[in-house]
Amino acid sequence: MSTDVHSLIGPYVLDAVDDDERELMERHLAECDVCVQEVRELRETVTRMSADVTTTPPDRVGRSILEGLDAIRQEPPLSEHSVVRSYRRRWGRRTHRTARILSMVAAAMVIAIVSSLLTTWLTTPPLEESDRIAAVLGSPDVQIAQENPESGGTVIYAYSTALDQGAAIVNQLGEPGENRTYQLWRIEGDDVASAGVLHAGDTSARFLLTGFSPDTVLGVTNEPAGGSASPTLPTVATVSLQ
Amino acid sequence: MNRDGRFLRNAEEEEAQQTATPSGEASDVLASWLRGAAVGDKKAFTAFYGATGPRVFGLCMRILKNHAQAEEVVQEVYFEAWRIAARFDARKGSPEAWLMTMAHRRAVDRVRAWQASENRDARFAAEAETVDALSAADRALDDLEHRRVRRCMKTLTELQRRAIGLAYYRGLTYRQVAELLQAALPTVKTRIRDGLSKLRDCLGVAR
Repeated sequence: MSTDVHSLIGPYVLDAVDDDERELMERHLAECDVCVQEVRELRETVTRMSADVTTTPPDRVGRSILEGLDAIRQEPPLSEHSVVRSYRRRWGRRTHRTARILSMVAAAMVIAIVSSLLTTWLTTPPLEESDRIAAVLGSPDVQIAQENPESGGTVIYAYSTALDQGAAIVNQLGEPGENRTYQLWRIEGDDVASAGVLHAGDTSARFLLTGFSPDTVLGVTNEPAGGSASPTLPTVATVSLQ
Repeated sequence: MNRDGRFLRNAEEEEAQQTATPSGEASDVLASWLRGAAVGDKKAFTAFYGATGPRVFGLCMRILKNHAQAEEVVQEVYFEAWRIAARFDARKGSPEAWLMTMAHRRAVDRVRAWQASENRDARFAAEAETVDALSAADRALDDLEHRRVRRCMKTLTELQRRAIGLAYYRGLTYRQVAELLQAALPTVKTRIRDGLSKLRDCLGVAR
């Protein structure tokens, strides 16, 4: 019997079982830690397969989701409330103090990073960058703007005044073409400077943006591989917080 | 070793290095947005939707092959995600898996209800899909992640690949898969599991 249930793990993870079999499997999972672990791993595996099929939904879908949220009663956490507590603590009354601490931390990080970057910039990817991007996205005062280019995908621009830093998330844009690449730009009036170049052919990336302000516009263009000194128009996306 | 051989090895090494970090980093960002959503932060949830929407919609379109139905399921999925965001537990899996599991389940439920009510000829539809499911894995994809998935799919046997593709991208039950591929039920069950395990090892999913 249990051998039979075990062999259902594959179809179960793919939702390729009927309701009775699903119930059977879930009863079994309640008693089998090893199986729970296997299901988790296979779910992560199957999820990677979905990276294969992406289509940008029409704007109306996002709008109607946002409009519908107020009508939904959200569930509290199942066990402990630590998630809510830590989140409220970060976002609640102590915001100013948190922001000050964060900016001090950021300043310390900048000093540390600048010195280490000088020696490692060209040889290794800056590991701190992902942390700093996460810090921008998680900061209490973060402002976020987003655009979905017609050619597909998403460009998100986030900026934190407290950290004086921005972050760009470029997600699954249309294929740039052979020997082409996407490039990011810092646009302030007539002053335009490169803010990062994706690897040729890549359609997703994350960048830490320095020298940006809340008034800066983030531009994305399609350029020859390696990037250009000035942007090739038309832009793929322009994102501003205003 | 000739030049081509060397190039291939380097490309694979590069791939292995690069895929190790970005997915974890993306998951961290998504998880932080979910934590925001859990306490009612719509801005965080909007960002979460912006980053994941194309993947959810793409999967729904692929399974349902109907724009209006896919849009409806996407809405349902994100309403559900908003409702139970507090239940997301990073120790139990990535935000992507949490979301895509919900999305796949809902899309599959919808397509099965629809097939039943329309008394649709599943065999015919599934046959058309066989080609699709295979080409999905073979399509020229330029993202590292896509390249990697494609490469790993190629390590599977024909039967493993077809069975997994039909179930995942089409929403067929393993019984329907067995019938379509004219294989015995126990064989299909084990091939799916073995195939997924092989994919897991090839993709380097954390154990």
